[in-house]
Amino acid sequence: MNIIELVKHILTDYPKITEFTNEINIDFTDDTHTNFGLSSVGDNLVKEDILGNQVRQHNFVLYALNQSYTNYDRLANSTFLLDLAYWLEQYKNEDPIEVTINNKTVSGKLLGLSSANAMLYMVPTGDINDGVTYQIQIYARYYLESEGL
Amino acid sequence: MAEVTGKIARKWMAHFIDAGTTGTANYVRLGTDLEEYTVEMNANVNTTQNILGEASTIIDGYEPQSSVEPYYAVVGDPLYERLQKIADERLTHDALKTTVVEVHLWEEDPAESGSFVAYREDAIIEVVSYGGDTSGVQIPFNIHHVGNRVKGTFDVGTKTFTEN
Repeated sequence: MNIIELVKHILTDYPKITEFTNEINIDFTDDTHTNFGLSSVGDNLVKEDILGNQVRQHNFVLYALNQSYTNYDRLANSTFLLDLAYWLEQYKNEDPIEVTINNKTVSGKLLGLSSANAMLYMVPTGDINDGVTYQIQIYARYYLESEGL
Repeated sequence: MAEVTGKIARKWMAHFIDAGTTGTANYVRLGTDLEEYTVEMNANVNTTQNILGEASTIIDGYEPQSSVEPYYAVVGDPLYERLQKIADERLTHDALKTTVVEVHLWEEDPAESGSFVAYREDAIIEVVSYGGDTSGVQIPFNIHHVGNRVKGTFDVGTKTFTEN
């Protein structure tokens, strides 16, 4: 399971996710309400120790189309994103991952999750009654063992 | 072990420290979480100038020292247990003695696969502080090399040093 699959799995396991969505797509958001899309937007090296072990960060943006007819809807949506941000920050499981680099399988583990810019992103049709798209940027820090690098 | 050619990557110079406390060597590799690890030579340089204005410089010794920072405490790591004991019991003198081994992983012993050219030296552990920030319990320490440097080979599988 690579870091993208792992983060999708973690989000799917978020206890309140069903209050907000039914399915998380990858790099795609359907135009129906309560639909989520998880976009991977880059991976970068944070630091490397003298053994060659790496700490890396993978960046995601989670887009969600949701109804926003009333202030109540919008407050509920923002509260959901706030709760999700707290939950991500508190997620402490060092889940194992496995990636393939230059035909070598490298093992590692998740170090932590954080998020930013959880907000209303756009009104797709221009009519707020058709639903709006929210976004939350998610950062996953992970560790790769030097063996195989 | 991959054959090393050209510029030597940092990971091919390995540094081990004996974390054992029972008289049997228990070598642990240093480097996890360290983005840099440098052995400072601290040469003892004496420069004199005669009445003709000529300078004479001699180096009559070294006081090598290195700093391991950060070092994160990991339960079950023998080095952590030794450092914690030093901090807890405020150990001094002989209780701080150990040995360190520098291994050239790019110089494999042609006679024995998995063994590499290495140098072992006596050393003293100086725990600098303990505690640290919210990233985890840290016990940064210094290693003072005190001499008795010998050349040999180091078996990375069994983590044993054999003097030449």
